[in-house]
Amino acid sequence: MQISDRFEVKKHGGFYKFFNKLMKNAYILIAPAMITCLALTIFPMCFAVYLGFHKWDPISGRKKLVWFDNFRYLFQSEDFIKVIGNTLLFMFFIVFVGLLIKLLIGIFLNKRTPLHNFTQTVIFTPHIVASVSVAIIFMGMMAPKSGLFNTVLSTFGLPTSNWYLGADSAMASVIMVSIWQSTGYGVLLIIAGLRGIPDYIYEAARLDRSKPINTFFKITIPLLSPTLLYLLITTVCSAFTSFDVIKMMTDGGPDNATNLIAYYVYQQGMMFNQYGRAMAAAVILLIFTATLSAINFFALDRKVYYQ
Amino acid sequence: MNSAYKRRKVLKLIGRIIECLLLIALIMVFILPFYWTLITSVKSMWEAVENPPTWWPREFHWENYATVWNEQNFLKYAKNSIITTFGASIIQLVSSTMAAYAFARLRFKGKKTLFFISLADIMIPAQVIFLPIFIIYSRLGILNTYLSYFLIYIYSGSTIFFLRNAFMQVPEELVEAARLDGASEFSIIFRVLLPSVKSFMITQIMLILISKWNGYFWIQVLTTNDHIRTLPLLLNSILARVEGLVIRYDLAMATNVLIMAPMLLYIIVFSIRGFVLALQCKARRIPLLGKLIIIQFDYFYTFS
Amino acid sequence: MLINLSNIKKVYPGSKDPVIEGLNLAIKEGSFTVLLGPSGCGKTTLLRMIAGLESVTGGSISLEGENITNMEPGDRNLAMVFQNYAIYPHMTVKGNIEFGLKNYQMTKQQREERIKLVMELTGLTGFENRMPNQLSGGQRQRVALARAISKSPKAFLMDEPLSNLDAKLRNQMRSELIQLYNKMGTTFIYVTHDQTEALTMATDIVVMKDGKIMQYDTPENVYSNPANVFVAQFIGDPGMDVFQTTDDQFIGFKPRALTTEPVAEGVSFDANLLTTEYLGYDYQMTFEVPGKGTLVMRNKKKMTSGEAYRLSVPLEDLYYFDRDQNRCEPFPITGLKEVFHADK
Repeated sequence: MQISDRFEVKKHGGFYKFFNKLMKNAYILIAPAMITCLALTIFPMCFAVYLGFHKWDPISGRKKLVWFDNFRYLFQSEDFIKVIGNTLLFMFFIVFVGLLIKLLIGIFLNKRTPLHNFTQTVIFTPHIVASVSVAIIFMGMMAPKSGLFNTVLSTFGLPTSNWYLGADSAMASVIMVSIWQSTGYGVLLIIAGLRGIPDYIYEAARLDRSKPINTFFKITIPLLSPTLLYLLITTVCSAFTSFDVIKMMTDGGPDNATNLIAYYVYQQGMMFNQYGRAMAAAVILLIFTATLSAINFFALDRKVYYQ
Repeated sequence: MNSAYKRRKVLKLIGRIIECLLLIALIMVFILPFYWTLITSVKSMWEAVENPPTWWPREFHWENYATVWNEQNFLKYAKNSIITTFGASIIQLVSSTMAAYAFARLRFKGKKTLFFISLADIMIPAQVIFLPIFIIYSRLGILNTYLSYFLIYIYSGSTIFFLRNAFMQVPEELVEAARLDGASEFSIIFRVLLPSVKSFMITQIMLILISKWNGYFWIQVLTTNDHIRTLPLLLNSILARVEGLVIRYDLAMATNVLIMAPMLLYIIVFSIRGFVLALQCKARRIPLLGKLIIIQFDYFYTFS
Repeated sequence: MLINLSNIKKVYPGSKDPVIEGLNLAIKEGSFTVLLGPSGCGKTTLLRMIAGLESVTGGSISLEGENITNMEPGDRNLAMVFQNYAIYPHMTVKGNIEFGLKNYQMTKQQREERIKLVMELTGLTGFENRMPNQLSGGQRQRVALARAISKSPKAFLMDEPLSNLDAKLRNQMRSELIQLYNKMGTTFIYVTHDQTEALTMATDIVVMKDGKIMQYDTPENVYSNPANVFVAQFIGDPGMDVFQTTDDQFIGFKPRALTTEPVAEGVSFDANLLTTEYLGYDYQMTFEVPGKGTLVMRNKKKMTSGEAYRLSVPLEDLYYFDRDQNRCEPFPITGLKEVFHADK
């Protein structure tokens, strides 16, 4: 045989042709996802807004347009004001304290020894475990009498606490659990961000006589800002939608101490059958998250450096 | 000169020791809760709530696992977990891959608008739309069916988004070369496109599977009986069962261990592999899942 | 002497073999010294050791008579231009320059004056408030230069600063660098693997290979008086053709010295022409010398491929190297064994 010998080309037919055609028709390909998107995301959202302006008794099935009555009710209700306050408090802690912890651990763990790698993996583990599992674990450890936490505290002679069962400590417990679970994810991103800063930038800074602290605040932090911003926004969103841990550990209690807006929507809608009020609260939640996404996508884009 | 050198060396050593201690403390903070779960799951009902708690079970009650396993509901919930995990994952993957392929590689009218709409669920959290969906489902009479659960996952904006970006990374020339070689669309997709984003796909699949296995919210709000309820919801009912004022932490923890087992096994296997690679002085990389998260993060910024 | 390197040794952590060992080099004050060599020859490592970015395993470095071997990079008063410029991407052009000046504790007024001065010098006036991602490659290069100049360093260290530019811009920046050198009169230490850059800009060239200095001389001498076979084959476009003689010595000649005309005194051999490449000014021909290997010739005359020629080199164009590949006195040529390539 010679390299210049030709061979016959077989033409495709049957299934191949059908599949080829199918794969070229974009509308068929996107149809399942897009139809579901319209039917089970966009339409329910509109429906939610619609319900927010109505009073609807699901048992009798009577529906009445009440305009802003639901919203007025919410803002006059002490419970809802408390829920908003709780959400902001929760958000503040998991965002700022959480981010600071992630940053410190991330900088500390940014080395490539086996022990550092192992620690990274261990810290990451809670992220892929179900939130309800994490909640159960901490419920066991925070149990007032038989729990690990109080045992350790009393061995060191420190005052014990009721943790998630006490009105004044429940919020702190829930915040602790949430930060514990989300640390690994953030640490991983921060390490990746740190490794993304090229060495020569640090070398240039050394030649510029920059002291390590100066380099950290003037070079590292600004260059890490995309990662930090991403973490900031995803954490704020997760604060607004936090549900699993609350449902499992406290059911919003005691005395609404840990009732966050996402849980409040669920509580009003599914437990108290107050569809109108639930959806009015959901609209407020939607305004928060949509604004955040919008900031994320459009506005902050210019303030942060990316290459 | 010599003493200064010695002093520097001593300081360095102290620094290393402090670093190691901090690392161990960190590991403790994150491993201790898992250790706690494991030992509590094999304690007796009374030892599990003893005050002060024991650090090592006095006797091993492996039968806790048998109790959980033989619980009438456990197998049903486990079956539901497996069906919903794989069913929803496959549906989400297939439909998202199809849409992502179209958005990444085909030209069609209204692509930009449709793509923007397809990102809706990034802005609309589940907590806003669950009640309307519940109402729609109850009108349709499909509450407490697998179908009702699967329907939700036909559309996942973030999956479409990430897969689309992955497909866009594959150079057009590669696909064109395959086309000139007489490859059909079928083999282009399965032999060229998907293999070149293999590691991305594998991690994406794992993340989807994990999120379905861990899923709680949708099952919680879309079910009124235990027909399709999954293992995470079993925890609720076990915790609610109080025997003579004693919460059955032993049974709850045993269930919990069974729920976490796939993920913990993955992490353990991964760590061992990491250590083996480290011993062989091979390049150590970020954990597989971690890598995906970083890729996702990169895409997030490519887009915005 | 401005910079003295004596008996330098460098071993990277985790490896056993030294990259550089027993290296001595004295860099003249006010010179434009180019460290030239193939990749992996240790030239960048050497530069980074002078800058203080790389620790020195053995030996010492002195700057103006002061031992700087273990001094912090920032205290050496040297400025470096990196291959990828290392511009702080989150600072404006002005901020990039100011960052270093602030660390030198200059007053605001001093800084402003200096920034204005270097902006004019590098032609960046008007770009003060631009962000680096709004600048072209050439402009970024200028920012890196401006940042280096602003510190009035004792010497400029440059690590392949032109390698990321396209060919046209590279030529332009090259002549600007020469002008800058003439204007400033400061010592430049410049690392490159591009011999054109080295020959055009340098006052002194240090040719390096495997962590050793092969030749340290003026560009003219490096080009026309190579000290050994490596330099002979590395410098020139293309480098010399070298034959190993039957008694294992070496003779070399520039490809332009090859001729098809018979010569009175010299070396002659038969060769088959494989390829002819047109290069504008002249042609480059690749010949196969039967049983001895391939060599190249440069000539203005076009020759047809596939034909056999008798090639000759006049005696006065021959370079002689001893068995250790170092230049030596002319010796009688016993016979040609094979074409030799130092890099193989």
